[in-house]
Amino acid sequence: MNYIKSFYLTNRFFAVAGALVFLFMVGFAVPAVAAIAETLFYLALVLLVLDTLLLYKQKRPLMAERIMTEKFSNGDENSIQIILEHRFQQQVFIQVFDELPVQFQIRNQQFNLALKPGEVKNINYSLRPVKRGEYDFGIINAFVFTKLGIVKRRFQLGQPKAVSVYPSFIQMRKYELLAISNQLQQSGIKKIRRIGNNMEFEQIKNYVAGDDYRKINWKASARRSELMINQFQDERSQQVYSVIDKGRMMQMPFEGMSLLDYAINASLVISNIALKKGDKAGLVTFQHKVNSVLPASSRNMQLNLILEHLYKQKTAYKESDFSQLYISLKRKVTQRSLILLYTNFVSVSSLQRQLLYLRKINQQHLLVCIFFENTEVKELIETKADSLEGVYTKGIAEQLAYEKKLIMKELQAHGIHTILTPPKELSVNTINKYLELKSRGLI
Amino acid sequence: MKDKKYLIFFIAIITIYVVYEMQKPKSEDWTVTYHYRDRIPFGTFATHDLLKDLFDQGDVPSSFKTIYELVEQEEVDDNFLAIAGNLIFDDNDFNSLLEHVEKGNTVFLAAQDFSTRFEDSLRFEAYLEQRLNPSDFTQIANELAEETKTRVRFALPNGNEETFVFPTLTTAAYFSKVESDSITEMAWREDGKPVLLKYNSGQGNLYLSAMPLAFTNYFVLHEETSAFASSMLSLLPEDEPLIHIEYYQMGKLESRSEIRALLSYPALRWAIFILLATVFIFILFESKRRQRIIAVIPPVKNATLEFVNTLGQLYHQQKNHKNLAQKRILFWKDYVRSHYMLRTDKLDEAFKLELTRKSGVEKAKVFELVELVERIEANDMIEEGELLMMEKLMNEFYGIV
Repeated sequence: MNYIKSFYLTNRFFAVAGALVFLFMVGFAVPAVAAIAETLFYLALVLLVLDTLLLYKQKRPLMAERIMTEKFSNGDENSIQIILEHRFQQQVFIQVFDELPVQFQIRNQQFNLALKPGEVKNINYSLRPVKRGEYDFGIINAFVFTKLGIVKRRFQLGQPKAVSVYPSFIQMRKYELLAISNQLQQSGIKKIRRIGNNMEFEQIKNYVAGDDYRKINWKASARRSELMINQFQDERSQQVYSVIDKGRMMQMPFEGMSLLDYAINASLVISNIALKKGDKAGLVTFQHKVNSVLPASSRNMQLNLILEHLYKQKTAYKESDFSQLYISLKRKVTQRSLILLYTNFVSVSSLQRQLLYLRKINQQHLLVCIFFENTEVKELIETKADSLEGVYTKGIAEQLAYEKKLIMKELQAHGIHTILTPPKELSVNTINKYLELKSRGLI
Repeated sequence: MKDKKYLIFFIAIITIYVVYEMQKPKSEDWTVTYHYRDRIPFGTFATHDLLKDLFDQGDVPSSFKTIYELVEQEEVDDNFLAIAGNLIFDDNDFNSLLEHVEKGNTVFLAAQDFSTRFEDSLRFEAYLEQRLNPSDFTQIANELAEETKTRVRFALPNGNEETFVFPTLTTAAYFSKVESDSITEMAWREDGKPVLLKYNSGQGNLYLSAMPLAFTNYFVLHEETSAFASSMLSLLPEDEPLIHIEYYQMGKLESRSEIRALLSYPALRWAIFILLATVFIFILFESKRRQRIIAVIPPVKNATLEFVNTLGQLYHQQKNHKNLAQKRILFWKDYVRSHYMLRTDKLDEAFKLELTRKSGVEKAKVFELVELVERIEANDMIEEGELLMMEKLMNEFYGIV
């Protein structure tokens, strides 16, 4: 039974059959061709049997294993490797269909390889999940055929495996390194002038253009005969709360990933950096009511707690209630903190409704309101309109983009810091803001 | 879950229908076949049983070949019996038949309709008063049940006469204008029309009956009429072998489709068989799964563009060009302010020069754009052309290619 189940035919089989039918039809008119066709028919039969024997001689001639991490990082390319090993005595060709998790909706993935006797080959590919949660990989389907290529034998290899897709820890590590080594400039991040003047002395270091020249240590400069500067320590143990709006407006996807997941990824990145900088990181999520509050802390396990917390976030995308958020912050966050509020406003009027609560929060804390530029609208603005209707559409798109700027100005007018960012650059812009605010000593 | 409900619903409906069909009294199958395997009223299963008793040889074999094939090709020398609705003989058949009879054999043919070959050569005419509609079973059943019957007078070879009563249905056909000397009438309807003829040729006899239905199960098993069939069959010599020729009502048992013609050529036979086998194999093997089913999850759509397009269409229907131009000017001014750090409250000469210098766009273009903006702001109404002009100039200003 298993033999029949694993028995498949190639296109070549059907091509040969078609050719034979054609030859016999010609043979109806020219008897000599019919004789040739008959010979070819038997030859093809012999080859079919031979090919089948070659493929089915051994019981388990093909091994495959899928190697991947236990956790995937959301929104990033995660690499997967399939190792293929065989024991056929001749060169074989393999078509591999890996059973991918249903979330990817990929139906046409196929790898074709040729393996010489004793050869081991790897298939490397990567997947970009855009939703957190459990992803189920199935088995690996491999179809093997020889150079004759008449029969294909299917092998069902490997083991089904579930993978959890977590908020982007790959981004987290990447930005952690950059932030610690002060290399944020390299990935196109604006250099921050340190304006803050904390008096806690840390070290003397070389003067670099852009440093505050009031802090030059003249005695040290004289000794080294080059300019030296006093560096002061950043304030430590400040609270940084990532507040994530899980409401209706955060559902909109960009490049397949919802704004909520962008916000979750950025929260993880910023929490990690805050912890590394010696601050306390916390987390608040809300929609029509406040769903979870993870108090800020700088304990060792805090980052893991935040990661698990972010992983578990679920939402019904209800209308967000900022009054509930205000009440909750008022009660539970007593120390002045940096509040990074990830939300999205589309129009000034929708902001006006929430402005009261935002101002109230800003009184007690340092509020940074983070919302998103609509890159799709931006694309529309940057294309030529070819008809009057196109001009109208473009005008509306420009109005929407302009509205975002108005929202930003409205917030700034009330002393609330803002970040208006394309979804892709969210993490970078948030880090920069955090570093800026820290160095300015505003928290 | 919803699908399952429908499935259950459909299964229930089908079950009810099947049960209903099974409950319905089965209607009799009145198809006229004259076939020896059929136990339906108008088959000849019972007749074959009767033949077994009448003839020394016991079982009477059925043949599905023409008389020509039997006589000329296989050189059979037996007596023949044929019962059919109509007997269509071609020249070969007919000549073989006469030849066969002349040689001293007896042939018994029963049909409602004889082909003109018979009528021309043997010089008689056959009439059919009422043709049986083979698909109208209710009509047949009704006619059989009706009281109108016909008497049939039969002159037995031993000189006696016997009378049988048949439903009119059976006696719809009769012979007329029997002009040949070699033909003897042997049975008559009550109006005197002959229904059984004997044609004498050489040493043999050919019997022609216009009442083939009398040989079917229905009448053979019927008390009143069974004797008629056996009497007629007794005309065939009981000690000579007999063959029941079923070709004329059944045709050859093999299929007679066009594909047979193709199959008779070996090359085409190969082609067709390979083609059919390949199609079969294709269906069998290509329908197998290559990987597991991937359920469809509709992706969440970013509806912004749709939203913008709809709004654009709505504004376009209003055709308030001025309003839209103002929106665009607002955006443009913001762009100028944030990119070139210029005040936009006064669009004077100095502004235009400064903007030209800072933006690096051609002076004439910048001036044209700013003047257009001023003009639009000053006017209450603007033309479609101005809106399109602004689009063109702004594209150049923004550097949109």
